[in-house]
Amino acid sequence: MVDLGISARSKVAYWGVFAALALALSFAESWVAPLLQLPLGVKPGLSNIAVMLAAGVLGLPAGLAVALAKALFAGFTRGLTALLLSGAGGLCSALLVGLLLRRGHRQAQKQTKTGVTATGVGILGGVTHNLAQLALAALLTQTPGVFWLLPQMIVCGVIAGAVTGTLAGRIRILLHQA
Amino acid sequence: MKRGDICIALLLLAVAAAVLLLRPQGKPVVYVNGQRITASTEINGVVIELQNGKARVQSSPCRDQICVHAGWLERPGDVAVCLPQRVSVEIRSGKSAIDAVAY
Amino acid sequence: MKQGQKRLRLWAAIAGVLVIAAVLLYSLAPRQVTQTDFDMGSVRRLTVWRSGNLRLAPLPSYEAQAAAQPPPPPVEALIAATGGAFDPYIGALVALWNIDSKDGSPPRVPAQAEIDAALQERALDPGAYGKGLACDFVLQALGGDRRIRGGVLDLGGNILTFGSKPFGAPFKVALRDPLGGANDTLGVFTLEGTHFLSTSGSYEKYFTQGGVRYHHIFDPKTGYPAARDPGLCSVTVLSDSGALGDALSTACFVLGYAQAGGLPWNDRGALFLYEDGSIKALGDIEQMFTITNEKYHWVSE
Repeated sequence: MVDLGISARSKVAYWGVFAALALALSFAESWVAPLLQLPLGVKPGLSNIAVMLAAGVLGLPAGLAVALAKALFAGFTRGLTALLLSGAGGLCSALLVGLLLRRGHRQAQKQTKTGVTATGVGILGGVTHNLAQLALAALLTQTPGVFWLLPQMIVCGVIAGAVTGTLAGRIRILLHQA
Repeated sequence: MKRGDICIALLLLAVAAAVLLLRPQGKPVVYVNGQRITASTEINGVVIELQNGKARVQSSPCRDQICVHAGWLERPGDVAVCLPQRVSVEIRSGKSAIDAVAY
Repeated sequence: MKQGQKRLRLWAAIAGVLVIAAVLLYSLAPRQVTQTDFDMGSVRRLTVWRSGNLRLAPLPSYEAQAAAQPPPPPVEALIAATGGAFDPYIGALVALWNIDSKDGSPPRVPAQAEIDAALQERALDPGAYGKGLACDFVLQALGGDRRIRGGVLDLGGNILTFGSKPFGAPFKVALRDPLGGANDTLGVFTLEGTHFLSTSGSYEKYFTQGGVRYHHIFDPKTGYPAARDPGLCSVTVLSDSGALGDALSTACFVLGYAQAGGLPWNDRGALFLYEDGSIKALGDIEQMFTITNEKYHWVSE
């Protein structure tokens, strides 16, 4: 578990903050996405920031909780498919980020043993998020052909994930110092 | 952005490029939800139009209209999916199963 | 700093391995190359799986060569074996009917006297086995290219498969439905290794006059389109030789199913397709063919 030196009460507060952030970003995303016209509902991955932040700063359980909250919110506002989609992406990326960052939590901005920083973890999280959504789409429509969209999904995931990861890393430092 | 990050990014992008190169070539055949179709049709409220071997989702009752925005599907591998309506339209390679036709 | 240097070397080593792997992959992995041109008056499409660079040397045209040479010995021997039902020396008769005219002039039904006269003449018409022979030539020409793992040749409907496809997948060759459209098939051959497929049928080239259909496969005994096996509309022969297979398909069509049984069928096979949808087989061919069109069905005798 991550040890940022914050009290238990603060931790709960942070859970709430991240959850709220997730919802806000979700809302913003649903505005932006149709404008960008990405294939297959590839989201810019904005709301995933909050999930990865929660997982990275507060640990895996927080990440999963925020992912769940985001999914439920999407479900209430946009229907069952949105719930499943958001849930798949969020849970998978939360898992990945949470498990990976468990080790390097104090060295988020510094070089870890393998030369991977929060940016790298963010990239992995972003791509995992998109892959999970692709897999879900393939399952729901019985169309394995959906995987030919892999190139676009990977590129979007890398870009969004890099931004998200870098941001998350910076925010961790800030929080740590706060 | 450190060495490890760049490696991860490059590796993933290499996978993306590989998939792009491995796309099947051949005569486009239109499949909806795994079944071949040869004429414009409607499923679950989603209207699919076929023209000259190309296909597109003409209209759909879904909220996001992502399927419609996908536009014309032409090459094997092109896919448009409407998740809320559970409809997928994909172009598969028609010739890949048969190597030649004797006559 | 030692740490940094070590790591640098590690990355260089990894990069080196990747480069070597890429080069190996490029030179050893077979990729598909297709070449399309013309020969023997038809489209010739060659697809091979080849490692190394993707360029194929262009194939020569064999049309002149096939016309200039006498028929290969096995084809020549078939004349006697079929009791004259197969005879490639009916060039005069073929020219008389003019079904496959080179100058656009129409075909016609010749008078009996003309037919009798033409039957007396002896002119080679390589059409009976020419495409199969051209397939043999191609196989010879490609044999020298050791980078080719396998391939499929389609020469106006005559098919040659050789070698193997990537991952050992068998060749799948569909058979066109003679009574359907250009895109209708009735079944698929699943083949491994070198095979030739030749088809002779009454629906490929024909003309109609006075309500009667005259096709282009002549019975050398009568001088008229072959009609010994009523209802027979196509014969497809699977063999190990292009020229002989092509000749056999013509021979079988003229002879009909009953008489064709006497021909040398070891390691070869033939499918006889009838207008009523029945398919009869000779030799070793049934297990390699799967019917996919419900209009057709096997008939065993």
